[in-house]
Amino acid sequence: MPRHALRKILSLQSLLIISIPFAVVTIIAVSWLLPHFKNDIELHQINVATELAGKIHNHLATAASIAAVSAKISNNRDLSSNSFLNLLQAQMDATNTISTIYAADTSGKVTAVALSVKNRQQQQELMQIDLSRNQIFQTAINKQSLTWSDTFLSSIGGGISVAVAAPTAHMVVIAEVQLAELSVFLKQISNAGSMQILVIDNRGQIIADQDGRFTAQQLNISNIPFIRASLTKRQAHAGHFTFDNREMIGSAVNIPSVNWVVLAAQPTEDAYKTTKTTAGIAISIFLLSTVSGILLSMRMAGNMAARFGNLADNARRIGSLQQAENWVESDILEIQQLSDSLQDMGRSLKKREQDLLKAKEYAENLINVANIIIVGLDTAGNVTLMNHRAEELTGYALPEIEGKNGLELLLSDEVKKEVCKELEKVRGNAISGNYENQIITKQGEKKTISWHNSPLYENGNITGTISLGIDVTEQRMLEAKLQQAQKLESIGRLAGGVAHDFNNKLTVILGYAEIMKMRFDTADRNYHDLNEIIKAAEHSRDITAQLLAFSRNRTLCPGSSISTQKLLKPPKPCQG
Amino acid sequence: MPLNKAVLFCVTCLALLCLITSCRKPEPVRLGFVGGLSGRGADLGIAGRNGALLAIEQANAAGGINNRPIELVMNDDHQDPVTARAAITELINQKIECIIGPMTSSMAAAMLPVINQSDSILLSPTVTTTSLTGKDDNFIRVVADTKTYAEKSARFQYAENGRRRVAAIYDSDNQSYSESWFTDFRNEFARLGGKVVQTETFRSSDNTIFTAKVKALLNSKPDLVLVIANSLDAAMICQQIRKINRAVPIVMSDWASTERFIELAGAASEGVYVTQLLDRNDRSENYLLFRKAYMDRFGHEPGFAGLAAYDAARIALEATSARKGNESIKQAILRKKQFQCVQQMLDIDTFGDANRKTYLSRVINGLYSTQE
Repeated sequence: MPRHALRKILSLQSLLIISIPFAVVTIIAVSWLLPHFKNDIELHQINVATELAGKIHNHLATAASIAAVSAKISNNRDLSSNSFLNLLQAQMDATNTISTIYAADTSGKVTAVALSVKNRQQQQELMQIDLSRNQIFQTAINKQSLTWSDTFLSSIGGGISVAVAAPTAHMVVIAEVQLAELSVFLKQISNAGSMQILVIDNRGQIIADQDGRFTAQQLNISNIPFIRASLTKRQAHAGHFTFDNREMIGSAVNIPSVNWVVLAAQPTEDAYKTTKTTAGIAISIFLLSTVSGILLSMRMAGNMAARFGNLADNARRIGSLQQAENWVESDILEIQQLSDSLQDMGRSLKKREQDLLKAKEYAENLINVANIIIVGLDTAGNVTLMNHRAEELTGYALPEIEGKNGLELLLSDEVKKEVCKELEKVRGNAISGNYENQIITKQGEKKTISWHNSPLYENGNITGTISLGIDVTEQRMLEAKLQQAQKLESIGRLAGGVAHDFNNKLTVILGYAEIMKMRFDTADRNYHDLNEIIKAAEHSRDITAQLLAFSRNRTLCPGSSISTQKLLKPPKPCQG
Repeated sequence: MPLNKAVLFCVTCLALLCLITSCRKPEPVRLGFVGGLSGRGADLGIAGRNGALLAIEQANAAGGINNRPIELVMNDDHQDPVTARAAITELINQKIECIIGPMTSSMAAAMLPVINQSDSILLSPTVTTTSLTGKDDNFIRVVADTKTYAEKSARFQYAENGRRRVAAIYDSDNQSYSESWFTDFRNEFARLGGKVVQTETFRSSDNTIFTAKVKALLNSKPDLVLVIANSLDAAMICQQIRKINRAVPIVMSDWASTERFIELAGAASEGVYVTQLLDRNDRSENYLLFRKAYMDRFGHEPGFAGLAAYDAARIALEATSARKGNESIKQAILRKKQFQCVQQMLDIDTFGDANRKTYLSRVINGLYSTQE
């Protein structure tokens, strides 16, 4: 089972405890707050767009009323064309909303044109031109009511314009609205900060924006679903969209009088800026407090772990019978109780340790001072114990041999097998037994040891053998010598008997040889031979005398050993 | 909770947090567009922008390029050389390698020194001036040059309609295009035996008065009036001509032949001849699908500018996705050479000039009708 540091566990637990509210807050923020923020932004944009739509409606109403009034005036048949033109010009000069007013007959021929001062020189050129294929003219003729155009390329103003047409039975008055002026107007009324205000015609083309960037460029954004919905359903709609390569959020509100749409939009990042800033501050504070909490909890966990670590170290020291030290005082009750208990335990163990040490010392002394060999072996035959006597005898110091296989080191191959059997028997039968075998000391000497082998127990299990041995080498040697001496004594007795009998025979031989010698002249060869026989017999008599002397002593003295060479020395060869 | 599970839980939470915070959209492929989106003749630029936008929206709907979305960064050149150079510089500074546009030759001439100093290219849908033909530069186009249009127009007017006396009026603000077109027409017309009897020029502005110049043209008793101008000016010129002379035939360069011309010129547009890159009689599935998609998206006809810009954007996208290694878009286009466009297979030569076909159309009952 894997083990983990207390510090890590406590830190992770703290992290988890902190993470749960974080996760809850995040889920609430994503699932509930964000849609609320989005709704608030859209609502704000709808309010802005609605307000702007009203203002634009009022702004355009000026142009529409001028067109309508001009159309009404054109119905006055008593009015000369010049007077009508002057009236148109006066209408136009009264406002800067309109760039051009022109009146066309039902065939599309322009009959009167009122222009701004800068374009007034074109007045004659524009008279009598044909507008029959102009869309607003056609629509106004067909509808016979006040009509607003989409954006179109104006032959009068020379650029993209919008216009309002007021038809009568025999005339159509068209007032073109200056889009640049509409942009200026939007800028004046919007005051919308980063908000983008776009006025869109009923085909989805941008008529104007407050910065003039898209004014009169006929950029069609009807492909944006909520714009299309707003144009077709004439209701406020909101949504996200991409415009000018930026992600935006916007709301579109219909201007009913012209069926245009006012779009109030913001780059998404700007729209959510406040939300993001608030969320950022909240998250920062939360993260800061979380990080502080984590650091603090990690520090506390570290302190707690350090205290437990200190207790664990001291417990380990106590366990390994070392001196426990640096006990940390804790204000945590349980830790302090644990510390006190450990200290008590330490003291108790210390006392027991001292008692045990004494007992151990005593036992070790006994073992070491014992004049017998004490050797402990584990079940594999490895040396676990040796007393001084055993060290002296074997020539091995305990540190040198401890843990090594004693049987391999101390026994010859022929003995090892038998000893192993004996030890196995002792362990297997759990009985003590005597055994004698030879060991080989470190110096190569052979020693005969008489062992008393007993099984060694630890926690009720046999863990090896303990052998008490006595060096019987000298005793066995003396015994052998004694045996030899006894043998020699028997031989001596035998030799004494033999020598006595032999001596008797030699006496006879010598007697008869002396007698015979007397029969021969000294020069005779036989005399000489007899001399040699007598010499040999005398020599044999000396040996026999010695044997007799040996047999009579009955003791074997190494210094008085009989020289067999001397005994068996042949007689000198006869001269002559 | 076992310790291992606790660690696993914390690591999973952390990994999820990292995953959420590191979830980012892939970097988009950015293409540029530059054209006249405001002022007189803005319809050409607007149609061009819409065509390019449609191609990119379709490509994005199909998954982008290698799963990367495509962005079109649009800049208005205001049809002013200084603004045009600033607009192109801004796009170059944004490291946009391929810029679709400009829509007029004078703007191309203004941008060329800037684009040639950069690693970007201009891929123009509608610039036709011959001054850019046969040059190894950072300018590529998907249309033929003015020579093709002007000569076709001249031959048709001389041979088919029997015109011999031409009075011409052109916009000197777009000199690079207008003079190129006029010269090519005049040379071909003269080669055939015709004659330019009167030439008038003007500078396009809100205060341009055409009456006097039109009178001068008509006073030369031409049997054909040639108008080289944007749609608005061409419409005004046609309106002035018809005030004075209801019969004299009018021929225009392709520049004016937008859908707005007919609306602006009214009845004066009727019968006007024009050479275009767009085959109005095309009933191929490719063209019908494109036209439907364009009209569904923008609510009006694509016209030649919408079609050419759509083709240019498709070529840019195809070259971008077909690039090998460190190959530039220009190298990819010139290596590939052939591109299937909406109405035809287009060949682009080593100088970046295309061999697009041209068609002769006439306004009949308020609609362009391809004659040849």
